[in-house]
Amino acid sequence: MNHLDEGTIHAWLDGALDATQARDIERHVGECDMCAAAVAEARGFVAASSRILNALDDVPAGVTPKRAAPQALRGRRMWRAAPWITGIAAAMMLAVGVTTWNRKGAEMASSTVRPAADAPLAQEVAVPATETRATAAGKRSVPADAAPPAQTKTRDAKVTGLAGGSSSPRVGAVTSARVKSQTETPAPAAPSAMADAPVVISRNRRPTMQRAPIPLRPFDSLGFRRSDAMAADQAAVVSAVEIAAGCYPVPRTAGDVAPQVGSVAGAVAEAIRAPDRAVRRAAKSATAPAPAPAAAASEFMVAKRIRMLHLDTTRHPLGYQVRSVPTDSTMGWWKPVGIDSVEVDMLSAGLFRFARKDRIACP
Amino acid sequence: MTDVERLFRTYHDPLVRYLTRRLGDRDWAEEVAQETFVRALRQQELQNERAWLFAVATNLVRDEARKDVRRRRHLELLREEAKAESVVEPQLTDLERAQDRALARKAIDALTERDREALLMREEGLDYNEIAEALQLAVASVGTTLSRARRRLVEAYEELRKAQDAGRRMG
Repeated sequence: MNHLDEGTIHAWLDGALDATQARDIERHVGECDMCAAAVAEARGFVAASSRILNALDDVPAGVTPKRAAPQALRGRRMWRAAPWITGIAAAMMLAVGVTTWNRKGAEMASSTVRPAADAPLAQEVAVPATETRATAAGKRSVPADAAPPAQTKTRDAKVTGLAGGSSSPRVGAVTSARVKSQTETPAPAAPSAMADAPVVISRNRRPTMQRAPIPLRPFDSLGFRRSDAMAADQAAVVSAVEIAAGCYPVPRTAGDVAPQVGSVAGAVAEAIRAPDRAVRRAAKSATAPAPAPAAAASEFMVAKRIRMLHLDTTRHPLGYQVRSVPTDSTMGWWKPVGIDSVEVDMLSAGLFRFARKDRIACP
Repeated sequence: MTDVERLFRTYHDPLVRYLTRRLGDRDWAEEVAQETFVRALRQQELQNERAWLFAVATNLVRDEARKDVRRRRHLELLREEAKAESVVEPQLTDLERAQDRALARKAIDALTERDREALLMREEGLDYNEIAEALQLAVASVGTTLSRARRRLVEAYEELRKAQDAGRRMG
């Protein structure tokens, strides 16, 4: 295959090519360093131009409006809020797939980091009792998402553990962590991973839509350099960045899990661009659970080649810096997405998306 | 819901955003969008309604822009600059945002008309076929158009930003 021209790369990144062409390109990019670099550059242009165009709006897209009640999002100025809400919802639904295999991969790759991997989760669960109950109630009413119906029982067990042990928040947290590990151990590997991801994500999604208590900001979605003096308004951004920063495992090369990662990342990118369409697509895929994440997980387990990335809080014009843990070299950039996800754009290996719970302890 | 209502509810917001970004003026954008929907009402049947609406809106902008392109552009720039400067007790975020917006406006104005329209349509979620239809392009050339548009936009923006930073250091 000849080297790819820029137009073809953009068409590929925009999902405009048919499956055969896309597969050929994916394979070629996996083998050709020059084209991989061109793809990385093109991704940068796509992201940066999008950010520049966002700056043309009075309110940048991707910002939660301060009065974000879903029922109030009607009328003339609806477009400023609606794309964000639907985009994030869709992105979170789609992020389940990535989360699932990645978490599994992390567990298999290193059993020593396992307790640390659960630590952020336990912290997240340690919320006031009322909130925990509300969340648990919300969780019951959430549809099964991508999880197969057979997992409902496991999820209910977790919900009970949360609600029952919530006389003190701390006890609730410990109980839930324990219940989690108990339910995970006897279950077959893949289903337990499948059941695991939607629970956490739906827990976070539900309160956001109902109460919107966290002042979400664009996370420097514009990608511009900002002066140090604007700390006040950016405080929320900084804290959100700090919450999401840390160490995450990723496959060593894009080739390890390229088809799955490519499709999921593509779908997520699509969700950001065309929220309505992506929501429909996500709804469709939720009714028919795709085997892809499980397949990716097993492939990943066999490969066992992961690389640890440190998501740094150092600013880069295109986001925050991603560093390799062993070498401390810059690998790309990342940004928080919503309150629960992180998008990592690797210069060479493409785009990954994780939930915050995928974070593991930095060595 | 009538067909008109559906059309309006579905496409009004993306169309106005596209036009606002294209024109740099929300009121003007609203006017053009309104005229677009009026024209849509006159149509018996729309094959690909999204591509049709964006194409008509684009043509309306071009028609009007031809009339007094220079005057409008000059006014736009004056207004953007005035906005950036007029914040007396500046909330820094607002000031920076206004400066970013002025830079972005200049950068997008640096593109050719076709590149700019293709890029803005893509940002509103139009697929390659729709963009090709709206802009009378071959589908195969949309990727090239978009890649060129993105590269130029980013490069123009970076250059402007560097010039601005240098200006600040000097001044």
